[in-house]
Amino acid sequence: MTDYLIRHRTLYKYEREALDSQNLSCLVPGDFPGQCLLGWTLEIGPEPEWRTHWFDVYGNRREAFSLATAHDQLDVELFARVRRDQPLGLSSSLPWEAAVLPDGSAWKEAPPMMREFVCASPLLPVQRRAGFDAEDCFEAGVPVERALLRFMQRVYELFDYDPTATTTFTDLDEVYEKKAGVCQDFAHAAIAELRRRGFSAGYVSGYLETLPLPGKEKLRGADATHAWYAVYVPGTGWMHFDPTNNVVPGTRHVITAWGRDYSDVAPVKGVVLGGGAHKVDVQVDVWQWPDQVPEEYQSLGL
Amino acid sequence: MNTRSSISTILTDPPTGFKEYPGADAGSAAAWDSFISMVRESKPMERERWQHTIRRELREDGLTFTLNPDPSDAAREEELNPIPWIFSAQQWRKIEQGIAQRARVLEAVARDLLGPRTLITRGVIPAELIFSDSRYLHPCISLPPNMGTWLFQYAADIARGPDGQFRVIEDRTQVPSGAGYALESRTIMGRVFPKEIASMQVRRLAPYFRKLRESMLSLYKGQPLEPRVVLMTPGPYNPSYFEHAYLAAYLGYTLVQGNDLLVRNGQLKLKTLEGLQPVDILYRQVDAEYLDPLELKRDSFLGVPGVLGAMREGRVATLNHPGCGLLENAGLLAFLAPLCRQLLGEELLLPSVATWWCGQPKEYRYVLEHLAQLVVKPLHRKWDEPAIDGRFASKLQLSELKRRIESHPQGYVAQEPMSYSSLPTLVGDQIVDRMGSLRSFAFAKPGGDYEVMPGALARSGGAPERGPGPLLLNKGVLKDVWVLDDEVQVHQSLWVDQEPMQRDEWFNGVFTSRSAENLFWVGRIAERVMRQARLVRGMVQMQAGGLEEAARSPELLRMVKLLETYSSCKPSKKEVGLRERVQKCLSGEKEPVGSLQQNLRSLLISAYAVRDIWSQDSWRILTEIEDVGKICSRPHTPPFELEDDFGKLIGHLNAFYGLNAGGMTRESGWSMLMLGRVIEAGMGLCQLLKGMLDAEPDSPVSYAMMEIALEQNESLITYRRHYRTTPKWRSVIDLMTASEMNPRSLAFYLEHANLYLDQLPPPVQPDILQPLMYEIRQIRSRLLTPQASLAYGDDPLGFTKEVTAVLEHISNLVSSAYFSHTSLQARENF
Repeated sequence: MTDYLIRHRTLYKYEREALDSQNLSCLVPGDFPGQCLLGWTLEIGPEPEWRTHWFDVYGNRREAFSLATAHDQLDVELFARVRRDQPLGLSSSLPWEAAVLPDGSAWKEAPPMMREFVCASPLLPVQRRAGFDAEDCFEAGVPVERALLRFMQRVYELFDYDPTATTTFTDLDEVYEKKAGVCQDFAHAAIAELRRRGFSAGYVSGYLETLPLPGKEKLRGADATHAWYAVYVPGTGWMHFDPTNNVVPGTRHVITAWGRDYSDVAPVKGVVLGGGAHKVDVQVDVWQWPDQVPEEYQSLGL
Repeated sequence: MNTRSSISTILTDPPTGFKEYPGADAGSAAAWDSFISMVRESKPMERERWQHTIRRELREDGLTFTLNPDPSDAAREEELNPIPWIFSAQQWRKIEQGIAQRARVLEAVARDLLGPRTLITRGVIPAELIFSDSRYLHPCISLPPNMGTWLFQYAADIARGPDGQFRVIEDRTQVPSGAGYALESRTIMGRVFPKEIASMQVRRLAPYFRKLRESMLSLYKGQPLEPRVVLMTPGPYNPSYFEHAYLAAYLGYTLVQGNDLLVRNGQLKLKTLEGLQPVDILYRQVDAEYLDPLELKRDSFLGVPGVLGAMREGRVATLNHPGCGLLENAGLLAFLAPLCRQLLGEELLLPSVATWWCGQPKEYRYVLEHLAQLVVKPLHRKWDEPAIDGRFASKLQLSELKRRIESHPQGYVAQEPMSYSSLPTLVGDQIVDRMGSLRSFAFAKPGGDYEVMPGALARSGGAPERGPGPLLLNKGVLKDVWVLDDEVQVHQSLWVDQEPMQRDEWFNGVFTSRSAENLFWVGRIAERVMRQARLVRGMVQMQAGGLEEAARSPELLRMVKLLETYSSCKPSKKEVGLRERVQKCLSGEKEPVGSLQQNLRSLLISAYAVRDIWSQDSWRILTEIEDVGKICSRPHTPPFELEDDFGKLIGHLNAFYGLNAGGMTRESGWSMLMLGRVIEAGMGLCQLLKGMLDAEPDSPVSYAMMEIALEQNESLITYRRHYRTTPKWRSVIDLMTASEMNPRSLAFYLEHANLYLDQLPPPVQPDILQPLMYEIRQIRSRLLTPQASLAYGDDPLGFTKEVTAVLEHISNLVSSAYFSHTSLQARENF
């Protein structure tokens, strides 16, 4: 069991005055099997004139807020204390064929709502051809867990981690073509191909605790948001896979939210009037609670 | 009866098709007989008059108007056939019941799928059918409608099979369009066949729209007792814009576009000249995906960021509910009968055309085996993937289609090819059979039932022997649908029988900032067109002898230069003939930016953007301005042969002002229109003076030149009456600048600029206009000193520059005080 304090700060600086900024965030971690939210705050500056929240169809907490008056920057800072006590991997010896739609035998008893994740989603349109070759991961009769582990390894090997290769809005075709990108692209590439094969696969946003080099102190703001995917195996549940690191998420992965693809769980998005060009600075820290937490954050009351 | 004037009926008898006339329905037989024999016995001249009236009305009311300059855009070439589709009361009651029932089923489906989704969890509707539809918008699930209904408006495309049974081809639930066309068709038919409509007791449409307004207000569940309604359109470039403007004007709702609205503190607001005003009901004609760039399609410029949030807060009702687009899912047609049994406990009265969803294994196999007999469509209409009729597809097309279905079965449905009944249709001088379909409309009433329009929008298309018939709103000719009634139809307008307007009178007289801006520009640009036209006509009149002859006249040379100034045309470096120079100012397409052609186009765009504001007569004149303007600015038409046309253009522009002066209420919109006009007139006058003065600074201005200046300023007669001498330059200038009583003088323009500014509501930023009005009074008072010439002393040119600067200043300040210029941008990142 590990407790974490997460700090996720997003700072927008506008070139010109911005007005009537409407914002929607998906930042507050939820409770999941193996994860429990112990406390959180979401601070926004300047103080929004209007703020509300609701839970979306997947149960993610959405915080919406707006600022009508002119402002030249927007500072959104989340602190969340999260307990992680179980790894996110699950075991299953079911042959993979039984876990795929439309005919997989395991689906007969499965809740129909889980079929949503085999369908196309806003950023992942219908794939009529394979995005990359993974045929040999799915030999006849192989247990689904082994097939999916092989598949994750294939993505890991085939795609290069390269933050300069893509942006938030790079579409899937380009990711397939470049075979490079960041965790979002790795997850999207895998999900689309899995869905094409009839698996029910979802997108998970969150964090990964990074470890400092031996003998070094952990740098401030050096962590990052993370993303991976999960496959729904009827009778077993959601099996998580982190293709960027080729690991099954253990307790060092912290979940924020889940959905069909990135568009369901974008951490902060907004629309403003004016503003001109803007710069954004994101800082993320994932500290083990309480040992690693800097003194100034010990007394947050979380 | 003279055989030459009677018209023949071509009897084509499709072996299987159902004939509407002569039909089996006793209730409508007499009406059909009398109408058809009236057509048969009509004289060619009469028929020509019908066609002529129809064509004129279609155009003048704006139904065939388009901003798209591409003449190949034939989609807008509407025709209305003089022969209606006639139904007896009993026959129509069946359709009515069927349509209302379908709307009730779909409402129940929406209520479930946009809420608890038990239809999916219980397996009544396959999950993949719903989840693979991009119209299933997640942010719209569990989003309160704030109305007593999800599906407020409903329409269905129906056609009659060989067995006489009507079947639904498609349900329309997103933005059911076409009701305005139906109303328009009836209005026109009412002008052509008033006697027939009265004697046959055709049911009227006005009560339907009146009840729609009332129903909308009673279904509203929010706080205000007098909810404020706006009708939201994607804008003038949308093919249905005519209808939106028409309905807004007819129903009395403010016509708005996305950027007229914003959300503040969870409340939807309308940007008006008076500042932000709350909106309670958003009557949307914009597809839901484009409604909110914050939560839905992020690059949409048609929507309002945060509007879904405002709904979630219970602060605004949107209709139809943005989740309703899902009900257009073509696969649902296959499940509607069982859904009707399950949700309503009733048998479906109006069946769907036989439909198979390929996401089910049995249906999938059936479709692949019968591809050549079926019509295949994607789950939802896509512009790049039209429906394919297997009967008319080549082997290659079929195998390609098969591959597409195999690679994504859930995405396709197949339908039995629809058969259409045939309708007598007047083509040329003959009555021939044409296949027809119709779109029926309904809205929700309190208590859960639906009111169905006693009429419809019908289309008739190809000859029966010529393959697939009419399908779409954009194809085929329009036909009015007459529903007969036993009761005598009293003429009703929308307003009759109603309490004096109370509930939604709020928006009367409220102008959106965008409307105000467009009116301001209509005022300015119309004035620009006017001065160009007047100048060209002046040149033409001067030069009856031909242009090249006249090239030696220094006056003409100056006029051409002036025309170039008016048109923002830089003089060419090369030696170019006068004819070419004039031509360029008139018909320049990209350049110069101020050519007559460009100005006419801008005028039409601005005027069309506020289509709901113009009276019918004003719009008629605008279309005439467009017509004659096209002739005047057509390339390669020597302008010197067009004296009459330029005269007409000037006449129409004057009529446009006259009509609005006589008919427009003196509200903010009027002030904006006139403010634009006087600012532009003042600027034009300064250009005229400058053009007369600075060409040859040292030589005295000739009499001829002075006369031209006076004539161009429409002051020649005034001058002659007041001075009765040969013109003196100083008095000419005095009359045109300082004379308070001359409505063509700078003093007058400035005074009125001040007046119109004063009539505008106070701007949101206070005190922005006060210094400006002071500035205007200052410069005007200089003009009005006892010796006006003191104002400009020896430098009249410098003075016109000063005045121009003040006028530009007014324009800029009004623009920043009342119009919004900042654009939305979306940002998103990790």
